[in-house]
Amino acid sequence: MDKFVESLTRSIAQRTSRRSFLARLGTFILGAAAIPLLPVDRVARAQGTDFKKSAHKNVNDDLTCDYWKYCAIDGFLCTCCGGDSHDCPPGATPSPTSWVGTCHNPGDNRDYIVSYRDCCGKGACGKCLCGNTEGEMPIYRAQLDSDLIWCFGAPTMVYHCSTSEIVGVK
Amino acid sequence: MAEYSFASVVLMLIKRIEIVAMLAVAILLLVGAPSARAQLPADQMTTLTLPDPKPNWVYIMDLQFPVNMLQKIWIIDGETRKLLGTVFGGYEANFEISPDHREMYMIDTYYSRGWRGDRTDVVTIFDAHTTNVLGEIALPPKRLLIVPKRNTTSITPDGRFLLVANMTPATSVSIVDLKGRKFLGEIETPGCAQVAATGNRQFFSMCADGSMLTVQFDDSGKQIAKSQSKPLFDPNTDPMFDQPAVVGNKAYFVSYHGKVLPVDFSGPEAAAQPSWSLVDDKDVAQKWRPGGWQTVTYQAKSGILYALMHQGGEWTHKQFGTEVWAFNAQTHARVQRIKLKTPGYSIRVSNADKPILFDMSLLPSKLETYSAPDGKFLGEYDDIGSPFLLYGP
Repeated sequence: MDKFVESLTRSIAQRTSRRSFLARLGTFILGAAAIPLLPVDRVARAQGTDFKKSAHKNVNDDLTCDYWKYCAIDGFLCTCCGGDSHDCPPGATPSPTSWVGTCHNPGDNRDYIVSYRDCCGKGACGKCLCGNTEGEMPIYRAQLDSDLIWCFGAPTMVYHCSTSEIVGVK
Repeated sequence: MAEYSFASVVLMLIKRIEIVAMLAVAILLLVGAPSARAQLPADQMTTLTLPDPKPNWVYIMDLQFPVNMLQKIWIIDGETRKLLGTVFGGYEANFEISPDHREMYMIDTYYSRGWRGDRTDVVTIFDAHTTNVLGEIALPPKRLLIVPKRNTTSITPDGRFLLVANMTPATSVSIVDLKGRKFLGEIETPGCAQVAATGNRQFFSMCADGSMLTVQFDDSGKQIAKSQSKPLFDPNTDPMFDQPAVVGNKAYFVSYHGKVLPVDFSGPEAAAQPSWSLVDDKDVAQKWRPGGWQTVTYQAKSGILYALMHQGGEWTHKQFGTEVWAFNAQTHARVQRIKLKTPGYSIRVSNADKPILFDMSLLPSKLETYSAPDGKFLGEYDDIGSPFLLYGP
């Protein structure tokens, strides 16, 4: 788990040169460190959720809300906006920060940790709106909240569309 | 595509000018002609103003989805279901009304070129009667940008201070002196988010481990005391929604599974009161649980707590509610089940003598009104954009 946070932090460090932003992020993680468990653990523990029972069983069409990797995606699918399930459309910037979740892939029967990374810096795309909520938590668990504008560290906080990036197998 | 020669365009224009000229002559003749009927007086164009707000008015936050860079408040009289006026704001806006009802505030973020450029966070002050802008107060550009929720900003009961939740993603609260029209400073709230005033110089934030942070500050906006309670609930097993019904120095939290947690914020540290449940075994078997956006509202005069309920499984906490259940907050007895004509996303009960329960649906865009004491359907108002939040005076 700590390895996951470390790799996430490292990937943020690789993607941003803003020292002040990292300092702020450090404060955020420090604040979060007061709680005993880290975000992904919490997703898995919440109500002993069995992600195999997920309603998101589609393994073929990433243009639809029920695609397995989108089990808690909330916003416009970047796949419908000129991007891909883990790529931003032209001109939009991948946010260096994101919230995380766990989605079950019926294709290989594995649970994956996914990072819901927003594409930022352009007005809202407006296509393929999804409001999936598996494992989604209120704002006091910001790392698991989908309503937040996850563009921290991006050039602007203007939300364009949402992606789901596989981080690893749970 | 047809092409027009210069000559034919000139001819068309001349014809149009002739028609307009004939019409003008006809109108002059009609106006000047003696008539047997009394003529209407000439109109005098003015701008109307709003009267003092009434308890059954409702203020609706419209995201103007999907391009929510310029959000909007609809002011509707819940009794006549008539639109009285509007107020405009910016990106992921928050709205507040001064306790004396003289001013309204939009707390916003703007970019200098609309969707790009320099970020400005600002409080815009509106006259509550004219809706004209009275002034503005610049904020540090670090507001918590989230699909608008209650308790992202809050006003102290005396109307002196506006509290603004920040997230950069480090969390803090900006203290704004509304009387002095200036930003005073920030109070850090590590590990805790949002803000709700529970006293003239006191607020609380919800924390990641289920605890509550209580902060007291002085007239200069400086923190004088801060106390984090022990965890009052377990977010790992049954998270509380982050938009509780806050009434004075008490808040009613409702969980994903239907547990009610009343918390007393009158002291320097939050104190949980005995929790109870919205659902009994039969309700659980039928998968009833709370959900939506503004899921819970409290009517202070009657002591009734209203919750938006639906039937659904795990992680259906944002599902639209098909019924509103009303509970006596003292005895915990369910006193009413109101079947909604249109499933709702947010609810609010007014504090009028004849209180109205507002049910707001996002899809379709609609406001429904019910008589709160007996659940009788009163009427509806359609086409309010993409509404998320309900406020009252």
